[in-house]
Amino acid sequence: MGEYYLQLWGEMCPVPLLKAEKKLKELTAQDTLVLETDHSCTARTIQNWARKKKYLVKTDEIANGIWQIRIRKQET
Amino acid sequence: MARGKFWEKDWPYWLGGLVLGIINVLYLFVTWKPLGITTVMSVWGAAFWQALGFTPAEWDYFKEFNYGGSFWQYTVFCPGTWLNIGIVAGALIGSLMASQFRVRAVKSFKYAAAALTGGFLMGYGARLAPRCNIGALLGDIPSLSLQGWVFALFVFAGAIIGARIIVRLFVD
Repeated sequence: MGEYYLQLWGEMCPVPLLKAEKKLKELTAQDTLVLETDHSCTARTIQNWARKKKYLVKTDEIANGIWQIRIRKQET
Repeated sequence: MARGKFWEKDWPYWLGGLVLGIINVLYLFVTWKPLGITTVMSVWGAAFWQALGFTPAEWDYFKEFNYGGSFWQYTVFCPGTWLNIGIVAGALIGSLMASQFRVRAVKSFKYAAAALTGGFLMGYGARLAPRCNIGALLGDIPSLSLQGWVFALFVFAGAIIGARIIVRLFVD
């Protein structure tokens, strides 16, 4: 169980999503992946993707134009 | 809040498409030209070289374009100039309204190099086509020109190749 952090500032779609997908594959349902992005479309894309995958996801705009996304796989 | 909800939330694609379609018709009505972004940039370039004493009107590309006129005609008095300025200004207003404006740093030299290379290839391709995404997809296709569909097909193919290059360069 742990928190893993990916800083994605300045990265353009679809790179952040692919990086998140890759990192999440290594994690278990007890781990939380925390992503930070400064792109509105990246935050939206990752959130929609996580919802589609039925992951637990929460997005906060922690500053003007900076989004923090927390994703956790659910126990199945 | 009411303000936040309207300006921040995603507009569905159909609404964006509808608005863009209406703007396209209005623009055509006023200027007798369909929307276009990059053709305007190429004539800015021509106007720039013309101002420096060169004769772009004699260059092959601009001959085909029937370029000819004063520096001002292709910059300040070109409707596309104001369209391009309006797009940037509108995007700025949109991000300010949603309180999402921020000066973003360039991630790395690699990103900057990739962006510049991509921009150059897009610009060069748009001149060969000779259309950009907007001109071909919103100008040619609605006017039932086959060229727009051919353009769309090859843009799609190019995007697939580009996506693979991006994955190899930035993800793996």
